Amino acid sequence: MNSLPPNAPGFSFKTRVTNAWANIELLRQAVIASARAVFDDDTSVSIGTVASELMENAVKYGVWAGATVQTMRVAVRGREKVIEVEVEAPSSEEAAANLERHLAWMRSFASAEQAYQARIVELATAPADKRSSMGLLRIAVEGPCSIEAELTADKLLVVRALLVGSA
Amino acid sequence: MIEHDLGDLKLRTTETAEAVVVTWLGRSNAATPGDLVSPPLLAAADRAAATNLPLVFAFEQLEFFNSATITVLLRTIRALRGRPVSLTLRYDEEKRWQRMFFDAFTGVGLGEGDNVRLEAVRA
Repeated sequence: MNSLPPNAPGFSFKTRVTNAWANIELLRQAVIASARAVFDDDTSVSIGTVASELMENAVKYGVWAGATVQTMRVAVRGREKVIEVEVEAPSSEEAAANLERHLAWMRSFASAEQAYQARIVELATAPADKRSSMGLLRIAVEGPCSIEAELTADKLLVVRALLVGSA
Repeated sequence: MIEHDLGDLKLRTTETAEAVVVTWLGRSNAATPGDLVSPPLLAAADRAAATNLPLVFAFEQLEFFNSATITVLLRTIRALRGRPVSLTLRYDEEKRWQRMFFDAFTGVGLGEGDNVRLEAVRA
């Protein structure tokens, strides 16, 4: 996985919180407020949205029952115009495989915009299915960002979005 | 005027001689926003159909919506297909996050020959 150097100067936000839904909005606002000290307004809002959608997925699709860790880790690092947003939460091989399938589906399109539009048409015209899968598509386009995922040996799923902003 | 207080989100429905307008205010960040927003949206659509007025969803004052809200909005549009309701989605083109989402709508041409149109404003 691509990663910023651990000693990279610049913006850094890191915390660990429970999976309470209310924490997502609190952290979205905290990330935006902090990012505004470094980045322009649009970029700061994008960073907050990316963090928020990744946290929503972690809470919704994390495997919390029986997990030894009952918290999610949220980290945002920015250096110059490159920003990395990372959310880590308990998961499973099955959940990680589901996510990888979804990412592969997104990559099967020529662009994230095309995948986003295809899903918009589907949701606006076809009968409802269980999972909308809009969160990752949305941040891939709005960020814009690339998204990677990795399941650790401890069954923690790390989802990382890398976006380019304006200082 | 009818105002629905839905946590961080408020939906305000007003009726004029020109339209039934649902104004989105605040932040739509609920885990399952459909349970909250679908009833007021569909009630406004019923009112628009009964009065033969266009229906407007006004997003320009909205600060944020999550992807679950996007899904609810798209499913509401689907529910209105085939009904005698003309829907306008009004947004602030100066807010990048709103422009990015509604630009995607433009790209797929949902409004062409359909009962949905987009209106970009500068709030």
